[in-house]
Order: sequence, then C-alpha cells, then structure tokens
Amino acid sequence: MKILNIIKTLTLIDLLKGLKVTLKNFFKPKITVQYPEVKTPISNRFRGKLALMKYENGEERCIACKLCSAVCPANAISIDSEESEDGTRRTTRFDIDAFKCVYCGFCEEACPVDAIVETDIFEYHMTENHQRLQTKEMLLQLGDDYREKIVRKKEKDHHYK
Amino acid sequence: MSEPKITITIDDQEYKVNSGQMLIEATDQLGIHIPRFCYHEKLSIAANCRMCLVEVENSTNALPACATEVSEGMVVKTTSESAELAQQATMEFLLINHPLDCPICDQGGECELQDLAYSHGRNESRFEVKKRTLPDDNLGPLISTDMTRCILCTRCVRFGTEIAGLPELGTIGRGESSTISTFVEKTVDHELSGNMIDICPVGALNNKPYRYTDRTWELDQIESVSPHDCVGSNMFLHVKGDKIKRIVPKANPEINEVWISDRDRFAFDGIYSDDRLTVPMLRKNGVLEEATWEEAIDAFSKVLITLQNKKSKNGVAALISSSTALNEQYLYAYLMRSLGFNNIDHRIRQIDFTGDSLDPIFPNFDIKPHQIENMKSILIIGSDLRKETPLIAHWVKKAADQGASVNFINQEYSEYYFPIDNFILSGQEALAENLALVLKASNDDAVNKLPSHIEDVLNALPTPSLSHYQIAKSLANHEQSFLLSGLLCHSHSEYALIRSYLNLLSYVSNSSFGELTHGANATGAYLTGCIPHRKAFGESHELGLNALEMCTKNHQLIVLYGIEPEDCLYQEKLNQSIVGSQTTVQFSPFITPFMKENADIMFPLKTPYESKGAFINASGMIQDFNLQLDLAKDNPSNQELLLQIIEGSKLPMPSLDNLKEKIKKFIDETKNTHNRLLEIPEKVLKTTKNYSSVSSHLYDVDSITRRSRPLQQTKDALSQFSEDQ
Repeated sequence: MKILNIIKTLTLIDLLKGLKVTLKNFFKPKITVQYPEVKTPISNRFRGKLALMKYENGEERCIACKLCSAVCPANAISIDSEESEDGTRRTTRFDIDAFKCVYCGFCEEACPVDAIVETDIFEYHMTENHQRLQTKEMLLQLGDDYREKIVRKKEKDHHYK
Repeated sequence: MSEPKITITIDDQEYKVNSGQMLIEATDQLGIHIPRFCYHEKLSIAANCRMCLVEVENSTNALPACATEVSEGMVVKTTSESAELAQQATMEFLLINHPLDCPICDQGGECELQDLAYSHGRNESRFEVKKRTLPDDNLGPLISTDMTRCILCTRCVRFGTEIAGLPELGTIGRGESSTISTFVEKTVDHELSGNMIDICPVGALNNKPYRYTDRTWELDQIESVSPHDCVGSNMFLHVKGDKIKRIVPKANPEINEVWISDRDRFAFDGIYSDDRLTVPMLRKNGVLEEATWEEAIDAFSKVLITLQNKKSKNGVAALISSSTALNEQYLYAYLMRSLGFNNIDHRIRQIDFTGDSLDPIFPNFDIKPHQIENMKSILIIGSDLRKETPLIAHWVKKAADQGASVNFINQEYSEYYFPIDNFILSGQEALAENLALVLKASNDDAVNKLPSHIEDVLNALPTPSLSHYQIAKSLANHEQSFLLSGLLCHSHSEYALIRSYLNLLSYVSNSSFGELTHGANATGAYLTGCIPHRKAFGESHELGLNALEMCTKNHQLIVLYGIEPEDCLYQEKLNQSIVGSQTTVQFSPFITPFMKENADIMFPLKTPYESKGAFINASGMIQDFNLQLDLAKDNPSNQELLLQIIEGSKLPMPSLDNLKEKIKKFIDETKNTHNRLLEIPEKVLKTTKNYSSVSSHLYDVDSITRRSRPLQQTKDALSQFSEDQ
C-alpha cells in the first residue's frame, strides 16, 4: 500500500486528474458576463424599482385608493390624498421608502388602475439617508423615462396573468 | 315590561323571544346575523331592500326578516339554500346599477354593500346593458353625494321624517328612474343631518370635509366627548398620525342614542385654523415676542407673587371657560384661591347675578337626557332648543311624537318639527311675567300650595290667559312633567327671578327641573370652585367679583383661561377691561389680532380634542374623554402647565388623586338633596331691568366652532352673519 502511494505521489496522477477538469472547462462556452459592461438578460417578471405610470394623455393613473399601502408587508408606501380641482381623487404625497421596500410586487397586483408598476431597474444607489424616500415626482418621472420599456415588459407578460 | 315569551326555532335551535317584535330584532338580540340594508334599529321598517329574506317554514316564498313578526312555533332558516338563493338574487339586482368605484369611494372598507357583496355577490356581472347614472345634488358644505351609488334603501329619507322631523330628502320618480333628492334644489340644513352619513349603508351620502382624504383602515378610533354643549354626546375621534380626520358618533342610549349633532361632528376643523398659537408669547419692550415655556411661566409666576405680596386681592380678575376639563378647572381655581384672589368666574354669558346666594351646588338637571323621552308634559322656557342643544331637542321631539304635551315660553319663535301645544311668545321683558302667570295658574288648584307671601306677589299680577291655564293644567295632570330652562334664560337679565319661579313651579306642579348651561363642563366649574362665591365642593367662601363686575372694571391683572373676548356676552366691556388693565394673561389655543395687541403673556392651550380629561354634563354624569390620546406632543399638557405655574408661584402642590372619584361621590350625595328654595328674595324681585336682546347661534358657541370652515359655510352660520351685518 505504501509503495502504491509513493508511486501516485511521484507521478502526480491526482494533479493531472484535476488539471483534466480545468482543461475541459477551459474550452467550454462561458456563462459569466463582464458586468457592468455586459448584462445578463432579465425576466419580464423581474421586480425592481417602483414607478408610477400615467395615461397616454398625460393624466396620472393613481386614484389614491391606498390599496398598495394597505397591502404592503413592509409599510414602505405612505400616501396622502385629497379632492383635486377637477373633483377627482388624487394623491398629494406618494412616498416609497426604498430601504423598507422588499420588492414583493404586492402593490402592483393590488393596484386597480395599473398605476404602480415594478420596473427592471435594480442598480441604483444613494449617498444620503434622506434620499431613500422616493417622492411622487420621482416615481412619475421614472415612469415617464422608462415608459416604453415598461409597457413592452408588461405586454409580454400579460398573457400569463 | 315583560312581554310573554314565545318559542321560535332559528337554524335548528330553539330560542325564547319576546312576542310582538320583528324577526330581525330577535335575531339581532340573539347574535344571529341576517344581512340587511334598509333596516335600521332607530328607524321605521320599510322592507324595500329585500336583503334580509329568510326561509320560514309553511311559507311559499322567502320572507323579509325585518317585516315578519315572530310567532309561536315559527321555524326559520337563515342560511338554508332557498334563503341564500334569495339573498344572492337580491344582491345581484342591487349590484346591477351600483358602480364599481370602491377604490375611490370613501365608504370603501366600512361599506355594508361591499361586505355583503363579498359574502353574497356573484363573481361577475351578467348585466350587459348600460348602467344607470345619476347627477349629484349639492346638499351643502357638510354632506357629499354620489347618487349613482345609491341603492334606494330610503334610510336617509326616513331619518329626515322620523328623527330630524324635517323631510329634507325624498324619493322622486318610479322604478328605474327613482332617485333620492331634495324636492326642489336646496341644501340639507337640519342640525342633525350629518347622521345621514352614518346611516347610509353605501357611499351615496358621505362626509364632505373628509372626502377623498383617508381610508377607514388607516384611522385609529378614540373615545371622546363633545366639548361644545352641556349634553356630553359620546363620539369617536378618528385619528391618523397626530391629526383628527373625522368624528363619528358613539352610541350611548342615555345621552345621545346613536346620533351626534353637526356641531359635534364638524367643529374639530377649527383646531387646524391658521391662527393657532403654538409657542408662549411674552411682551418685551412693548412687543409681543415668542418666548420659551420657562420664561413665560417665570414671568407669570412673578406677577402673581408680586400681587399676592401687595395683598391686592381685588386687583386680579380670573375668568375661565366652562368648556375646560375638570382637572384644569380645579387647578386654576386652586391657583387663584391659594394666592388669595377671589375674583374667579366662568359665567361669561350670564348677566344677572342677583341670585348667586340661592345657587344650587351645581346647576339642577334632575333627570338624564334619555328620560326626557318618557315625560308626558314638558315646559321649555327661554330656549332656542334646536340650536342650543340639538340632542336635547331630539329627546323632546321623541317625547312629543309619543304624545307628550310640549309647551314653550320664549322670546323668539323658531321652527320645531314636532307638535307644540302652546307657544307663548313674549318679549324679553315679559318672559318672567309669563312664567309667573303659569305659576299663578298652577297654584290655583295645586296640592302643594305656595306660602302666602309668595301668593301675595302673584296676586299682584294680571289674570293668566287660557294658554297659561292650559300649560299649568298639563303640568299638574301628568306625573311625568319636566321644566327645561334654556340658554336664553341663562343670559336673561332676570335670570335669578326666572329661576326662582321655576323652582316654585317645579314644587307646585311636582315636576322635574332641568337647566341647560353654557359650555361642556359648567357643572364641573361649579363643583371645582370656578365661581366667585363658592370654593370647590360647594364650600362657601368670601365673595369675589362676578364675571360682569370683573368686565366692567380695570385690574392690575386679568387672566383669561380658554376664553376669547368673543365668547363673552359683554365682549365690548371685556375688551375695555383688557385694554385698561395693567397686565393681561391669556391661555388660549388661538391668537387673535386684538389679543396680540393687548396681551402681555400668552400660553398656548391644547383644545379638548387634543388632550385628555373629564367633563361633567348638565345631568351630572362624569365622562372621561380621549384617554388614549395625546396630540400636539411637543407642548406640555394644560394640566402640566398649570402645575408648573403653581410650582413657580411657590404654592404647595395640590393632589389630583381621586379628584374625579371624589366629585362623583359628591354629586351622588348632593344630587337628590337639592333644596328647592320656596322663596323669592327681595333683592331678586327688585332687579333693575336692562333688557338686551340675546340669541343663540348654533355655530358661534366657542373659539373652535367659530373657526370650523365647514360649519361656517352652512346656512345657519351664513344667516347669522347677515343678521350681524
């Protein structure tokens, strides 16, 4: 037994066995990407940063029913509302605390008018504590900026809902 | 009243129930729920929603539980297949025209239709034709309408006819085109109309100031008591964060049934007025500037100590509002009395003080509000009842509807929506005389005769007229008779004389007697010693100046606690006194331009909506309010503030332990020993009469109501404004 071990050690058989795996993988096609230059594809159902949508004529969708804040398991959404000048029910404050949000997507499901949506944005940062609050203006802006992308994403997934 | 018990079977279980009641009343008492929309325990039965259909054995059709009387051996199934089928069919019909706008409807979350749609509704509608829509009516500044949501249960219509007595809403049209509306376009103005918001089972009638602001599940509910009248209506504050969002009634069968007045419901808006005072103010070098609490308390204590050392007892005038909590009144009286200042009063809407020595320990009100309903004969003197205390007016209406004879002796005529037997309209100057004539008529054939020297006084009067005799007869003939003196009496220049007559009349006709008082806690003010002639618990004391005397003099120090000069009946006099006095200190939730110019120290107060405490209503019922609440947390509570001032003034700290219990015990002991003084003192008879017209304004009773935006837009407030012009 001892002799066999000595031969094994001297001929480096174990090492070559290991290198064989390396060599095999060396020529295999790669699945890692060079993030951030290259990005992995994202599912249509990916749940990222929240945004508020408008109708095509520019009118806000949100009707301040507060179902999203009611369903939110993390209490991340705070809303104030009142009767607007044209007599409709509108929000005066719509804050999402990004630190609290757990991206569960319940708000999107609860929304009766598809106002609050989850985008596929997951890369964002902030340097000050107060920046974690995303105000109504920021959320609407986000919805405007990524409108086409969001619409495309929702259209693709819509058959499965 | 024990009615014969009968046996009925509900859902395979036997129960003993009282005969004569409807099935739904029996099941409600037993805790079995039957769905309903149009049935309301305080309203008559309409049976038009058909939601409460249940299966009754031996009946071919399902029967409405609200309109089916229980009978011996009845077998009822509330959850059988045919009952559920009937209920589901009803629900489907109700939902045909009901819009699917729950997300924006303020009723969402507390909606009876929404709840039952979950349990009895279909998943989807089978109705493919266009839904009915209706234009909304403008019912005024208090109630918002979304008539498309209406399911025509007619609760609001029945409320108008039966509870308010003023049918402001009605059903117009037939079949598909029937709607609830005012007959001609007008606003809903009754002072109880806000209750339609609560009884509407859907979101058709809603709270206008609250419209679209919050959802029901966001609100915390806090038990409270109304600070605006002496009835002490129970209510719930609905609070989100540190802001009151709306007020709804809390049922109390002894005080307010299930209703509250619009004043109680909407006045709270005043506390969010722009002229709210949040920091103490101190006059430095002639300018009123913001100061720290310590500075302001120091400054005030110094003034108090200096005046105490000077022994200038009469140089200090201390006024307090009768709508302040019991503890505050007690501490305020303690502060002033301990420093030797006797001029303390809360009666800033009273003119005649000649009867002070005859004052009962606290204002009489022999019965509880709900007992008014059982009275068979009621005489109301000097009261604009509906505007002063809408809920007492409601109980009187209930009595009148049950056949009681209601009579008035009043300075001015206002409309009442119940039958009135005699209405003696007399000017200010003849009010006392008219009452005396009723007394004279009563004395003629009474069992309890008056002493002869009082008879002599009465004999000097002219012969009573027919209405006087009718009133006297009605009071004498009924064992359950009640005399009610209103706030106009209280502010009358012959108040003492009127009260003496009332005491005599109550003795002669063997009636109970009730006196309405200003503010929510006048009884407390009497018991805690906020009156110039008595200390706490009715102990007699060296006489100080009364409110009117205080207002007609200039002082070294004048202190207003919870009072604005506008609250005072003799505002001009008080203003002059404030201008003429050396130092003016005001404790107030608000700051007015006049006080900004004339006050030297100002302390911000918390309103009764933001602090906890207790009120004693006119009937001597002590009620805690807001025990779970503390809004405006940055500031010390009113009680802490007063304690700090007491400490600053180097006085021993008073004990507030068990104060409430002590007062409760004291009330119970003294309540039934009120001695009715069968006497009209010379002084009272010889009052110099100086009549001035006084009228009650529904929405001008205190600083909060005056600042409530919704109330000030009502017809009542606007008409008062045009009157003042």
